[in-house]
Amino acid sequence: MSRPSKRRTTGLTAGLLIGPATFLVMGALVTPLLLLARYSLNRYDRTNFMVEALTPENYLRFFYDPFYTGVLWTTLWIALVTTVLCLVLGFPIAYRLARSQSRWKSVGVLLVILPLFIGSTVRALGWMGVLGRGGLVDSTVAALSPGSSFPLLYTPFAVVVGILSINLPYMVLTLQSVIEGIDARVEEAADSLGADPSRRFWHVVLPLALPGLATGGVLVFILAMNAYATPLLLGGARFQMMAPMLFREYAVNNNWPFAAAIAFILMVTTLTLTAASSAFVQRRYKAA
Amino acid sequence: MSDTYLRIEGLTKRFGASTAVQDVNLDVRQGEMLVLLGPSGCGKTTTLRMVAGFVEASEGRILLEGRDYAGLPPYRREMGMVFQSYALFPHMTVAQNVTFGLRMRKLPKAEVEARLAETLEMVKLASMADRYPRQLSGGQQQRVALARALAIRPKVLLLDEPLSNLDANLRQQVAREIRGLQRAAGLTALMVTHDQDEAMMMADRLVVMNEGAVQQVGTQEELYERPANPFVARFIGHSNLIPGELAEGERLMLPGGGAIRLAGGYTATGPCTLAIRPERVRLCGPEDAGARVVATVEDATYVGAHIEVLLVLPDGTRLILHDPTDGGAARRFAAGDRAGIAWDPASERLFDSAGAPLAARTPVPA
Repeated sequence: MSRPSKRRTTGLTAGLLIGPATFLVMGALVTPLLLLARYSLNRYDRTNFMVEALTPENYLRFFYDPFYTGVLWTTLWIALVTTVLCLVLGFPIAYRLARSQSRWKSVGVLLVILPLFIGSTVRALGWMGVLGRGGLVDSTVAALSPGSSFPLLYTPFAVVVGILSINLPYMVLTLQSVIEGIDARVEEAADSLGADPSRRFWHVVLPLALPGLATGGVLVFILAMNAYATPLLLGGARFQMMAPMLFREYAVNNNWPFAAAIAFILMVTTLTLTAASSAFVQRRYKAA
Repeated sequence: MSDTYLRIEGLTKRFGASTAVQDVNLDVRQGEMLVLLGPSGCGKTTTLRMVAGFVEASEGRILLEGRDYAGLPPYRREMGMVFQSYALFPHMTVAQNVTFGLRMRKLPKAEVEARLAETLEMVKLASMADRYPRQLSGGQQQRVALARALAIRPKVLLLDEPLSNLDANLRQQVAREIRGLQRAAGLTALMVTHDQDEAMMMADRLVVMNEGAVQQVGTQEELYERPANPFVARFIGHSNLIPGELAEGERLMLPGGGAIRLAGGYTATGPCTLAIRPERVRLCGPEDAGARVVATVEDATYVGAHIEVLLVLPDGTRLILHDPTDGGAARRFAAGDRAGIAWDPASERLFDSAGAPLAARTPVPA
């Protein structure tokens, strides 16, 4: 077979292999996004619902109404708090799993993955049973000091706990694979050179795990920003986050243009913070 | 011993039911390079890691200048370790790697700088101070690892297979460099290797280990000339081991028939093992009066310094012997030839069934 024709065949094969994925991305991701972008510039009308227009009023309404910016802030800080907690709580577990040579290691990994088999809605229902009035915590407190009650459901705390429990496995799995990539001998080297465990962590383990922390952090942050079932079920009627609010505008109020604008604001905020944090980590990593 | 600096007493490590290191006792003198040598899985690395503190000993003591180190964590032991994989900090420059131990000790900045310059000078890496490990060759990384361990002025330098990741042609040079630095600094060093040549080249004394236990401790010459058991005889210098039955004190009856005329006379009888070194024999004609046994040449390969001859004894035992190439082409042996094998009494080692060396009754001529 001559060279040019062979190249043409491989080009064709590559095209066939990449084709379906490209088509899927275009059809399932880009087109709806473009459509949504267009919707967000339309006008809402109580009788006709969506009216063709080219207006920034949906975006302006969001940023001029303290209620909506408040929801954005709530979403941001819940996402940040859960991300930080995920990092702090996930790292020791991930480290332990990564460095374990025990035959129970696979059991440990399975225990981390297991919650992922249960949907976030079902798990939120479980938390309602634990945190709600007459739930596990409440009845324990009531039994210890009769007359008092301790309902934690429908508080930001419940939402943080709920999101944390869903996101922690993602963080642990990401960090575990990164820590496994760090040569254990490097830690021993630090050890033999006189670094006690805490300085070993700050000077060697943490800098080397930083790219993994960034990846895990971004993943968990995005998940938290877009959490839907957890804030809806555990936050209660007065607690608002972006995703449930978006859905209400869309399905209850039938305000598609405003819902589309909320979706874009949520997406752009998430993307901006994600890009900023990875740029920061990359610079830190290069400098270190 | 009065000049013992590092003493290892009854060191044992068990992993579950298996014993990795069994009752190791060693005395290392100040400024000495002691090399632990053995096949993989013999417990040499575990022993080194117990001295470093990375592995907790099941039993035994590690005494440095009389102080028991067994309970100390590695970061308090002041032992500089050079790892097989070098284990450099990938996110730090050469300078940061080398000064890591000094910074952990919170030495004054001027002192850190002075020691950095001095150490980099020693390993000839002064121009590489600002490079990252990934920008260095294997040999350079190795020297950074050495410099990092030397910078803390360790009480003991520990070397775990330091040459095994280097190209063959670099190994001898680096071995000499390490040896030179260790001698110049008067450092006490403990090194682990599976490579006999490496061990011979670097050591003041060697420790041969097998299956978790020390087989013999001694200088290169002691191990080579007076191996304590068949394992050491074979591991150091590749002796041929020939099992047989000692009869009449001077004949070794081969189990499959035939006999070897021994050079020394022995008082013992019974099963034993003869060890002869490939380069300590002469090949001669089968009718030659000096021939102690006659064998069939199976293969002969010219390798330069000698001809490597594979022979088969009457009972099927295979031997590898070296025939010097300066003997002239006229008396070369080829496959299928019958050849006599001759050796001096001084080159003969006989071990009893327990592996202990047997002394020749007739005095061995010097």
